Amino acid sequence: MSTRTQLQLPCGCCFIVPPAVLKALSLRHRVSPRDPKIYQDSYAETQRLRYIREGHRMASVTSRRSIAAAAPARPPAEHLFDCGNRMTLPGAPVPDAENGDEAFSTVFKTTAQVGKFYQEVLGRNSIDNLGMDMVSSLNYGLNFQNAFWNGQQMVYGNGDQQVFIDFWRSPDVIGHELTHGVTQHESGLRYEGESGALNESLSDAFGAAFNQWTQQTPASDDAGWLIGAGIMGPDSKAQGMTCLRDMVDPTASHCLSPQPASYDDFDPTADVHLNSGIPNKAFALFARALGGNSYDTATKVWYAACTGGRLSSTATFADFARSTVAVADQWSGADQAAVADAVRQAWQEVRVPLATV
Amino acid sequence: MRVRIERRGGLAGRPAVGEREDSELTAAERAALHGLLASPPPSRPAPGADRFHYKVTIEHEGKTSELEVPDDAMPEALTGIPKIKL
Repeated sequence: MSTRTQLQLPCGCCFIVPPAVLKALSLRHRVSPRDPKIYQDSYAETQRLRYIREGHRMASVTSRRSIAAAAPARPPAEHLFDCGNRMTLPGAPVPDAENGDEAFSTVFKTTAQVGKFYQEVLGRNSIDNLGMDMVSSLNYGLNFQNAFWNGQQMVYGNGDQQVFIDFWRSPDVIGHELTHGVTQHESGLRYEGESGALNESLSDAFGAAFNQWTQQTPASDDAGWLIGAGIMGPDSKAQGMTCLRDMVDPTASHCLSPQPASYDDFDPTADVHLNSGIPNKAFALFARALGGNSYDTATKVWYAACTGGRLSSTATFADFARSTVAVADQWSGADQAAVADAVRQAWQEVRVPLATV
Repeated sequence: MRVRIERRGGLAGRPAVGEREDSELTAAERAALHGLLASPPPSRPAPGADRFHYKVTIEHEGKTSELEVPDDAMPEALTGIPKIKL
């Protein structure tokens, strides 16, 4: 594995007491006159640290852009590991994974394809835009029903073979997990509330766009907007569940995890994977309104809106929507007016406000 | 004693839950549970994205205690208890 140091960004989730709690406590005046001052000081300090971290993050993204522009593009190196059904990472190295069994060769080739998609469609050099190595561990845990990004690498479980089969079997899932790495190295969207749901939605959007790019399917093809269609097990299929999520129709009963499709139905208490249905639908509407392939224009607008320092780690849906509108308004090409109109229509349809409060 | 384990998060975002009476626990599950109670993990979320998060509830002699356990601190032996109900 490369010995080059991988850039670690602040995760934004390292405060033991959430700032919202400190803020609420700071407003109480019932316990003793001294207590609110303590909480006010703590809240102010966490906010100050957040501003410092945000400043470091923005400086990092900006400097990496200039370094990336000067660096020669080469396919990122890949490293695969076998956890052997244990939960210790990364597991045992798998030499020549490209020519290994179905699981390892598929993950190797699909991960390489994601790297190619980033390069050819988005002009991005791997996860960090600096050619970072791509590391994947398979056979994680026993019947483990998940795939995740742990801040440094991708991890895939094999499912229970009833509700889910192997999590590497959906190309969009591999694209989804890698894109969490991209988000970590760009906006660093905090994994809670609206920013967390946006983080999830970006992974679904680029995962679906990657799937459509590899299959060469147009945006009008409904199948290209299903997330996790390849990992559904026999029990799920027997109950008519064909995917985890459907970006065109997030509320559909064929989804294992139906989502809200309108900001009117946003649930502040829900898991980030539920509220992501709202920006998911906006992206699908935008891409389908433009026609052709989602990866020709819509994906590039979305990518520009969430990279290059345009998005803060605490961005709301409305912040991101306005960023996409700003990108669309500056879009070069004969279809600029149509792009600008379609992106506004998409956000309007899912009831995300574009006006600045 | 009765243990209930709820799982949230993950790529699917679909909750899962499982319950066991003390007599139903395997030796490995019982040892893992005792280890968890003896040294409770920090409640901060596991790093990255699409991670699981667990809530372990134990009812014993009329008392209930709860533990929030991040993905990377959950003993392997206990991860198989929660199941998704379709």
